[in-house]
Amino acid sequence: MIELDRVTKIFTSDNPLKIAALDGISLTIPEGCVYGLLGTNGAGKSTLLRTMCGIYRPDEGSVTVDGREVWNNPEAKADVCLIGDEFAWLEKMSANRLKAYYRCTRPGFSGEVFDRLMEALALPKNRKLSTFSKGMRRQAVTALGVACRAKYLLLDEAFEGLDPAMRRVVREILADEVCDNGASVVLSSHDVTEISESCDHVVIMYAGKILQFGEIDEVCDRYRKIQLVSEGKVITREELANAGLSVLGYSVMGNAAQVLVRGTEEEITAKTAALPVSLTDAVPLTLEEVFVCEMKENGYGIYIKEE
Amino acid sequence: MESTLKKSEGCRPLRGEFISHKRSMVVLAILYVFAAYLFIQSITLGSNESWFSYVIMAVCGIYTVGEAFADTYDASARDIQLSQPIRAGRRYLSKLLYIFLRSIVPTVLVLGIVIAYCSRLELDPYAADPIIISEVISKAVGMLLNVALFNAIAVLALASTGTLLAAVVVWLLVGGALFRLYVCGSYVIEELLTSFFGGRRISNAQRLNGDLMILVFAVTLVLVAGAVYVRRDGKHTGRFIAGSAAVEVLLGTALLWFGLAVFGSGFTVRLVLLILGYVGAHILIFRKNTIKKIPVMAATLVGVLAVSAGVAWYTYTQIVDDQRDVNSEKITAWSSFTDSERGVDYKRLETPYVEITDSDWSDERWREARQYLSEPYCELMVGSYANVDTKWSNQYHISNADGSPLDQEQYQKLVELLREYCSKNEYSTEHETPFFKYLFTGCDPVDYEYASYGFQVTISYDGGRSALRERCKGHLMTEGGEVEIWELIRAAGYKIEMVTNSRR
Repeated sequence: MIELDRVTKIFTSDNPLKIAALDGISLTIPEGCVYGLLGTNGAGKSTLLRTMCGIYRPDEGSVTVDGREVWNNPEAKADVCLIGDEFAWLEKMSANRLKAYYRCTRPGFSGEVFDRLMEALALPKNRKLSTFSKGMRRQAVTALGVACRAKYLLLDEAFEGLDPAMRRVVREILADEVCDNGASVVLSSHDVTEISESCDHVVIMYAGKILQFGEIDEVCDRYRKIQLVSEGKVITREELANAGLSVLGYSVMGNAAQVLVRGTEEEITAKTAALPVSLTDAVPLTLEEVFVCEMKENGYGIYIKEE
Repeated sequence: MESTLKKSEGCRPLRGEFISHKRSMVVLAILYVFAAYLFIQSITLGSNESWFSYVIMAVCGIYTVGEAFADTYDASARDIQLSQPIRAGRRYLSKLLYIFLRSIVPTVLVLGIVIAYCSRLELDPYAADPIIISEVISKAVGMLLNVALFNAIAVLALASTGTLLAAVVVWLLVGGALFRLYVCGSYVIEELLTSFFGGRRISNAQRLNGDLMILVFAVTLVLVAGAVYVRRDGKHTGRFIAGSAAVEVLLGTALLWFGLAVFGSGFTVRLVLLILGYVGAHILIFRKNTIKKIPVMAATLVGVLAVSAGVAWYTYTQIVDDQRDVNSEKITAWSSFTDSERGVDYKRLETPYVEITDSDWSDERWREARQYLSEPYCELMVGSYANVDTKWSNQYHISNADGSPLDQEQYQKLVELLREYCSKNEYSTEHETPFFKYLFTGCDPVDYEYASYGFQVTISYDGGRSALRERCKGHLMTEGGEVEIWELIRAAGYKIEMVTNSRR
């Protein structure tokens, strides 16, 4: 497993306030799962991936792969493969040359798998990647990553530029990789739908910190959209907060208050029992709703209107 | 896993670092061929094209370094290269090997072709401008070392910075500083020691072996760059510069050499200008609040000053000792060649040299003798082959107004005249600078690069030897400032005329 223990990374250049790109991140990624990194622009997703594969050295904390420190450690790095969001350097090469390069640098690289995937994706092997379309390039480098046969495959913006059909294909390829080889895949994306459809675990990041992580259903289950109906005066947000509810969203419709709160159904029921309202509805949030709520809670996306 | 890793690490250089567009490779090949052509032209025609061929090879080398170290300024190259399971040290060596194969080997090939071609020409006894193959080889080795040094500077610049712009800034600083150091390294050493050790004098410091200095510089830079590269992670890639202590030292060193070598004022003024320049450059490059860093900068400067002076002094003493031994061997060889000491005077000062006064030899004899005359072993020649040394740019002949040679008394008057000129122009006679030694002893090798300080002149004179007295007339070699000297000498009643302006 990949273990991050209180990892901090600060970029000092042009950063007089020394804002941390990663701020005390602790995370464990086990084998055989698909993790989705979800976050806003600048949340630290790419930095986290680069730190996990040993490109960046943590300023504080440690990153270990199966117990081995990853920084400047070929044995540990051999188990981790990153396909970043920037791969212009690879575009100078044809697929055949890419294969030769990765065969030389990655101990587990399988040329056969790469060829098979390139054929399955109908990508030419003798043309430079720079002559490919954006989506084709993404497919080619994803195939490259899968062919590395690493225990941990890290994909930054994996679905960027792919059409819906190809997203499905890539998703299947990654699922096969997890099923067949027991590998773990970590995807980063802004696309909540993509994460919720592709991953079984999610990490929600903001400003270098992890806000939520765990299985997607479990994370969604930590929130509820409730409807509170009262006779006469509609219950206010303050009254709800005073009752101990962690209110993330609040809107009024007639004599009913629609509220987004943190907590399980049991916790919410217990806290609203004393209020002069009846709880008419309490449904879990979707991942997108959770994401938007968390971002709003942290002051991001202030133009998102409350429903 | 272990065995496959070893296999992986055994691939050298890494295939990915061979990424070059075919087009650029063809262009580089054409440039190398062109460089070879220019070098041959410069030798056969005695022209200055060797400088262009040198620049071409250096630029090709720097381009190659840029390709190899793409991971230091290109985020995509960084992501791919640094995520591979290869140690940073191994990756660095792989890049050096790539540079060796793509820059040093082609340069060696070019120079080898030139040497092979010239060795054929050398066999032609009727050539109007005979080629001395040892001189060509010496020049080629110098060029190769210079290309290697420029590559090493580029490696250091890229390893310590995060963008091409920052690398160019550092390259210019270090390259410029080392160039100045190469040109007048001994001058700097003397300045340092004079300033810090109570006017202690170093004579003949200009004899520092340039090639050896370059080699030491190049190896040192590559080692320092390796240390910086291995330590850095990918975070500086694409950012303006790595604010590491290594860069601080680099900047301090560069400006130190600049400050001491360039400014013509007194030492205190230079030091103040140096500190101001350092602070200014620091603000420009690091863009940080430099007030807080003033103690760091001051400590850096002091440290650099102390280390540089120590290393320079040690190197100087070692090289001069070696030089003395080599020159002794050379004189022995020369003595053996001439079969007797007839017509040859030896002097053993701190560094030996040879004066040749016999111009009765045949052309063949002179041609053969020239292999013993490459600098710094013999700088002073009188007679029909006075321009044989490759470093003379111009030679001027000073005599009495009626054309008769100067006698000792007249020579002394001329010396007094020039001494006065030196005093007026702040060429101190107290510190016996290299320039001063050139001027008044005529015994040291002349390096015309010193012309950047004003002018240079070497005078051969009657040292009391009858053969020399008969033949020797004054020889004044100048480059820059000669008009003023001409007027000065003419006004004093001497006749001065240009004997030759050839330069090889």
